[in-house]
Parts: sequence; structure tokens; C-alpha cells
Amino acid sequence: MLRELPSEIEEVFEKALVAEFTVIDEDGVPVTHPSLPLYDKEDGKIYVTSSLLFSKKLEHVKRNPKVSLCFSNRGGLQVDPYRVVLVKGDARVDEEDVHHGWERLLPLWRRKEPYINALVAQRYALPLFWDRAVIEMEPTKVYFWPGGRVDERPEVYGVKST
Amino acid sequence: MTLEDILSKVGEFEDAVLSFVDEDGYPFSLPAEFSVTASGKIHLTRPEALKQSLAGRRVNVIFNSITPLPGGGYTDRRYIVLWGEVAEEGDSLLFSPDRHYGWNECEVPFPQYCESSVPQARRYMKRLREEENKQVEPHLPAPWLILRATRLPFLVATWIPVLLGTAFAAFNGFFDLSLFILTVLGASLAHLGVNTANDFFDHRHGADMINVTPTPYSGGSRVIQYGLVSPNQMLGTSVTSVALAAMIGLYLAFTRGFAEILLLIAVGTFLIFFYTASPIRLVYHGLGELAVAFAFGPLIVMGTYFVQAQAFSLQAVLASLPVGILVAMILYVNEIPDIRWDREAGKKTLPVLLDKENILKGHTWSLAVTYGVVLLGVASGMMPPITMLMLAAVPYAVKVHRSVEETFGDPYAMMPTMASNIRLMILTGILLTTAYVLATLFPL
Repeated sequence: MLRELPSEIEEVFEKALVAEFTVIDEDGVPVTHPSLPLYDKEDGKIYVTSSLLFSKKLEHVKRNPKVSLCFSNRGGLQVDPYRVVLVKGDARVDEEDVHHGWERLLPLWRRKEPYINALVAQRYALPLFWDRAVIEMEPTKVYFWPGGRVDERPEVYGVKST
Repeated sequence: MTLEDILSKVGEFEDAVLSFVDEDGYPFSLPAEFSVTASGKIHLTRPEALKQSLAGRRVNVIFNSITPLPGGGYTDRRYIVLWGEVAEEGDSLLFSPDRHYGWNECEVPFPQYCESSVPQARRYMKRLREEENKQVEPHLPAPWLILRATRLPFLVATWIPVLLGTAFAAFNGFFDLSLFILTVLGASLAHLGVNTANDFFDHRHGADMINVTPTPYSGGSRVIQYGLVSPNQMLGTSVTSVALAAMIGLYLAFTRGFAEILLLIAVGTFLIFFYTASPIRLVYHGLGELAVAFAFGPLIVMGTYFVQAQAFSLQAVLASLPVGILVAMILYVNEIPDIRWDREAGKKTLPVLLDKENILKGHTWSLAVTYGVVLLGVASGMMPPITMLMLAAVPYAVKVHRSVEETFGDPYAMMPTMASNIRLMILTGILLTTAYVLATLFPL
């Protein structure tokens, strides 16, 4: 469970439409994917779903679970005032049921993107797009730059699981 | 797209995010101000939080943009990811990209982006099965799979000419409900056979595989490409459908006219399989549209009429032409977004063979002949005057033609056009059928 974080950080987790999700490839090089982060306040984890159409990141996470999520996109952050948050964490891929397993995240998804219902209703038009794995990220360290001033030292929250 | 092209687009983005592997082994990402140099490198401001030297390290820089919409959702999604080495230059970093990928939904629409990635998903599923022993198969619930694999809604193109043939027979004093039901059933099964055979042979010839802009109206059902149905299952469905259709046909042959109906079955079976099958492959020789016009016009209408009346009729052929042409026009218009892929696959559809101007002319003339037939038929006394009711569809036909002109070639913009083109066939067919029903009920 995440240690309690300032509300300014949780607001970012809950509102951001996009974050830069970075994994590490087999050569030890970072690979960044724009992703929709879903934050579950109850368990303190951040979830990212990945269609099997874009499954390269799943292979990378399975090989190296160390990942990060950077919340800095001005268009997709949807918070005021602007701020930047970086989360490092350990990730696990849940792909036991790629057809329906991700549906457990729908309540979180709907809260962030209410129109997702309309897309899910048409899921059979793009069947493989809706075959999805869940990447479950347990945060280990959070860096926070109030006002997005990344030229200054960040506030750092060493998060530890309980 | 070359790296040079990519770098020319980087300036369109507001933010760059630099990512590298931190000392603790986790990726570290931070937004950085950037500028592109004349020599194709990128200057990045060195973030204060960055303690270590990145000199000589491979890093990743992403430029990402998304525009949320006020009512929910978003638009204008685009991103560019670059990899390369970094050199330290005082307070800034000099990034030399050497590899890239990205996506811009204005250039590659989302459905196309997904379709291009289908092989990746199938490879991943295969790896899960083989390396992790997970039972992961592409899946659609049975009703959706049947609907998609058979392209069931397109059966309307069979029902309309069967209804027309039956109405024409009734107009001439012949109508038997059980024969009508058998005809609908047999013709529908034959049509299912066509759809599934077409998918099988297009898969075998690689035509559907290379098409990454399919729509619900073009590019095949995709069930083989998605791994939902195997090619052999598709062929099996086709053969079974045609066999069942042939059994109904044989029953009708024994009871209504052996030689004539056998001839119709033979012609129908030939068209079903050799529409796309080797060695004839009609659609690969510019004959697909003609074959469809003949099959869904004279063949079905005349066949339906023969089952009821046990006779052939020239008037039935004339009455069948509008519907036959309009069904062929469904194919013709649906082939427009597939021009590029059909050309690559060696398919010689009429839109592949013609240029845009002549494709549109072909559409105009086909519509003119469709509605001109009824004028000719009435003027010559071969069709009752009330069949001019069909001309009520002309304004809609004009609208459809304008829509074809306006959306020409863009697969996704053409979707409403393709839908309205199907509605035009239904409307025209129903008006003509209704005219024959009225002429039967209220003879002059």
C-alpha cells in the first residue's frame, strides 16, 4: 500500500488522461509508451492496460519489472496548476484472462473516461484490440515537482509496501 | 518516414520527455525543454534532478500530444519516440537520435493503426500458448462470430431479388408460399457460401491480409486474419452452405423442372466458387461486378420466377436488371476504398482498372441505366406503369452518388456512403417489388 501522498499527487493520478510509461528492453534501453494510467486508491497501485495488438511492452515488463510513469503531459494532465510527478515501481503482468480480466478495471476507467462505455459496447468490431493484459504497478518511489519546476529539487516520497 | 522527416515534425510538440535507466535500475523520466539543431541533433535542458552523467548512454525521448475534448474523449493523438546517444554540453544534453517510431492519428487513423498490429497480437498469443502454456485464443461470442464470419446482414442483397422474383410471379398469377420459403432459404445458403468462399480464397491469395483499412463494408470479414476461424473452417462452412443450398435446389429441380433448375444451380455454383477461386478467378479479371450483377439480378429473379411459374420470362429479366445493377454497385463502391490493396493483390476490380473520373462516370451511368430500365420497360409495355414508383428512389440515388464523389477513397469517411449505397438498393428493390404487388392486387 502506498504511504499517504499529498493530495496534489493523487489528483494527478486520478485525472491524467495520459502518462509516459517507461519499460526497459532486453538491451537495457528505456522504451516509453504513452499510456492511460488508472489509480486505485484502495490498494495504492497504478494500472495500465495493454491491448495485445501493442504487446511489446508486456514482453519487456515480464523480462524486467522495473518501470516508471511520468505525469507531465500538459495536454493530458488535466490539473491546475501544472505539476510533474514521476513514479518508479515494480510491475507485474496479469494476462490470465485477456478477454475479460481487464474488465475489473472498468470502474476506474469509467471514472476517468466516461465515454469508454460506448467503446466497450462496440468491442466486437475490433476484437483483438479488446484482448488486453493488465500491468499492475506497485509504486516504490514518487518524485514531485510542484508547479512543474523540474529545474528545482523534487519532493521525494520513498514509498514502501506495508 | 526518414529520421529527417521525423525531426522536422518534432517542433510541433510542446513537450519532450527524456528517459534513461537510473542508478537504481529503474527508468527515470523527466520533461525537458528542447530545440533541434541544423545537424539533426536535439538540445535538451539538463534537469536539475539528474545527478549522474548520461554521456555516451542510450536514452529515449518521447514527444507526445493529446487533445482532450470538452465533452469527454480526446482527439489529435500523436507521438514520436526517438532513441540515441547523449553527449554532455555544459548545462545541456546533446541527443543524437538514430532510431524512431511513432503514430499520428491524422495520418494513420486508429482502426488502421490497430489493423496493422494484428500480426503482433497473433504472434504474442502464439508465444503465450507455446512458451507459457496458456490457453489464449482469439475469441468472439458465437452470435457475433457467426454474424461477422458470414457477413449475415449482406443477405439482404439476396432477399430483395427473391422478393422481386416472387412478386413478379404473383403478378403473373403464380404464388406458392412453401416454394417461396424454400427459395429464400436456398438462395440465402448460396449467398453464405459466396461470402465464406470469398474470404477463404481472398485469404489464400493474400488479398485480405495486406488490407489494413478494412471497414464493415469492405476488406472481408477478417475472421481468418484475426485467428477467430481457420481457413479450413471457412472453406468447410462454404462447402456446407453450398451443399445445403444444392439439396434445396435439387428438391426444387425434381418437383418444378429438372433441367432448368439444374442449369441455374450449375451457373450459381460456378459463380460462387470461381468468383475468387483459381483457375478462373473472375474478380481478378475485371469480371467480378458483371458476375454479381448477373447473379443477383437475372439469375436469382429468373430462378425465383421459374420455381413459381415453371417458365422463363424476358420480362422477368428486364425487371431484374435494376436490382442486379444496384447490387453490383454495392460491390463497386465498396471496392473503392480497397483499390490500393486489391491492386497489390493482383485483383482487377473495375475501380482498380479505372481512374477516379471514370469510376464516378461508371457509377453515374449504372444509376442511369438502373432507373432508365423502368422507363424503357413501361414504354415498351413489358412492365406495368405502376413500376415507375421505383423512380421515387432517384433523389436518394443522386444523394448517394454525391456522397461517393465527396468521400471517394477514404475508407473511414466512405463508411456512411457505403451504408447509404446499400440502402439505395433496398429502397429501389422494395419500391419495385411493391409496384408488382400493387399491380397484382389492383389490376388495371
